[in-house]
Amino acid sequence: MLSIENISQNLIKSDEDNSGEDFVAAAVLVTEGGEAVHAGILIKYNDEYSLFHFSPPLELEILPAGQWYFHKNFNFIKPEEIPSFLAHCKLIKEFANPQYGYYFAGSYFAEGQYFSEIPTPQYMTCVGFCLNVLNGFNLDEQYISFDEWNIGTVEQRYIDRIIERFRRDIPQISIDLLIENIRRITPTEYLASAYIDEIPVKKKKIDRILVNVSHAIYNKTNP
Amino acid sequence: MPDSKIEIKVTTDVDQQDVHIDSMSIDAAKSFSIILDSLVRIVENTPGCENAKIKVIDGSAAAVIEAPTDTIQMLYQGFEDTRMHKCENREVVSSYSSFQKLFKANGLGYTADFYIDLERISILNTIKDSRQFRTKSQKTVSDTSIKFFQTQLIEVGGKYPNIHFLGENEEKITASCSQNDAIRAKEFLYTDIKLSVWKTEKEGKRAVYECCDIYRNAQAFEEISSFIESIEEKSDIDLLMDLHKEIKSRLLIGDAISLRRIARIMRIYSHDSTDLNKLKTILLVTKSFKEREEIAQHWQWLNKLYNKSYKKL
Repeated sequence: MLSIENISQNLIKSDEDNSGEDFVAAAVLVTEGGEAVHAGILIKYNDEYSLFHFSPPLELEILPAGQWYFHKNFNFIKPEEIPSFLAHCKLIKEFANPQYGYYFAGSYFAEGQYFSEIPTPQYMTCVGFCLNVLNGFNLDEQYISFDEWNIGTVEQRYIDRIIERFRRDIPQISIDLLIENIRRITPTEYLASAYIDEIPVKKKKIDRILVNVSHAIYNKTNP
Repeated sequence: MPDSKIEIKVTTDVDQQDVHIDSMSIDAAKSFSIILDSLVRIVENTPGCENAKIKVIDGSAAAVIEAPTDTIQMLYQGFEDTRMHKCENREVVSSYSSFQKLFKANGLGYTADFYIDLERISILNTIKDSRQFRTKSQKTVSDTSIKFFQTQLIEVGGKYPNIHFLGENEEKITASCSQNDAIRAKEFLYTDIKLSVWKTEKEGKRAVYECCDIYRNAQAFEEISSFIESIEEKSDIDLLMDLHKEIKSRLLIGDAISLRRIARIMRIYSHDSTDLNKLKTILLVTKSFKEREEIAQHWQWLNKLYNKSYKKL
């Protein structure tokens, strides 16, 4: 298992990065209390750091200064293929229209459009958005085994809100199908996924290192 | 004293005492030797600096490059390029990067200054505060490019199939091809043929041509050649986005003609020399159509090429 120290070594404060090489990374915004509260994808290309994230709105921007972003590189995206990843992001930025909600049905962005196993409006969280972008960049596998997460950890008021919104948009939608696909993957789980080399990333593997990843984030912000 | 120089000095030791060249601690001596070595490498690797003199100043631990003002200005430009990550000279960048490591490490005190016509420009904090210096990333330019010809076909055949046609200046060009291409080409013998070929030029060698595609349909030839020629002039990200949009617009129509046109675009890129990013972009945009018979074969070819270059990384 990865120790806190191993995790810390590869967890970089984004505005202090000096790795020299281009990369695509899982990035999280951390509070002063050491908690990861928001997620994005950090892309370093030609000495420029771009953050692609869904706050909402959907932004592809220069890494904001003075904010506590930390990142861990994705090993499956090689520095040499970053131009195609960046083009993928810019196309999503141009064509996608996500809306916020704790919902994830194996949807992915390909061709800059939103594809889902069931036809739904583009509801997702900041993490769901990142996972969609990553899924859309893979040719065969999903990036993450999302169906291992379920409604269990989502607060009731969010569940109510998302069901209400879906009913408004698609009155004939099956509630059972909806409930099956309401899930929340946290920013810390998302960051932890970048430490796992085997794709699709399994929830079990994330669970094994999750506490240590949380500690590593906490230690970085409270030295 | 000359008006222009570079001077880098180890001023204080870990215990905050002044450093003197005649009695240095191990830490100070190590730093000083890195500074001297790096300055020598900068001078050695900046063309036109042969007249520069390198010296060590008695007393303080200072290494100095003395040279005429225009030479020092040239060296200053080299520093600016390094700072902006625009310098292509590995040795110069790695020398400044050595200073950076020293200055960023805690403990010793330093000064680092350019003097240009008596004006002092300190580069200490600039070096300290910059992101890690590295050479400008250079795009690897492929030796192979795609060329389109509308020309006269003068010969087809050979044990190893090839076609002969006239180039822009009426010169005879020979391109290797598959047996199928040779058979397809035959009907155009001594008449006009529209084709695309991969041209590979290696330094000091004659250009090598490989047949890519033969076009019977004038409109297909016109559309594909003008599209490919227009995007190949663009910078990487814009090129990839245009490639995606062109293919997507045809996927949205989705009929057999549109898919066959996409197949011909894919064929242009079915070559060992094709950049990984173009392969990935095409594969992604056509992913959900990869079973369609018009493009299925092409998709597998490109996927094979992509996997081959991905594994090399």
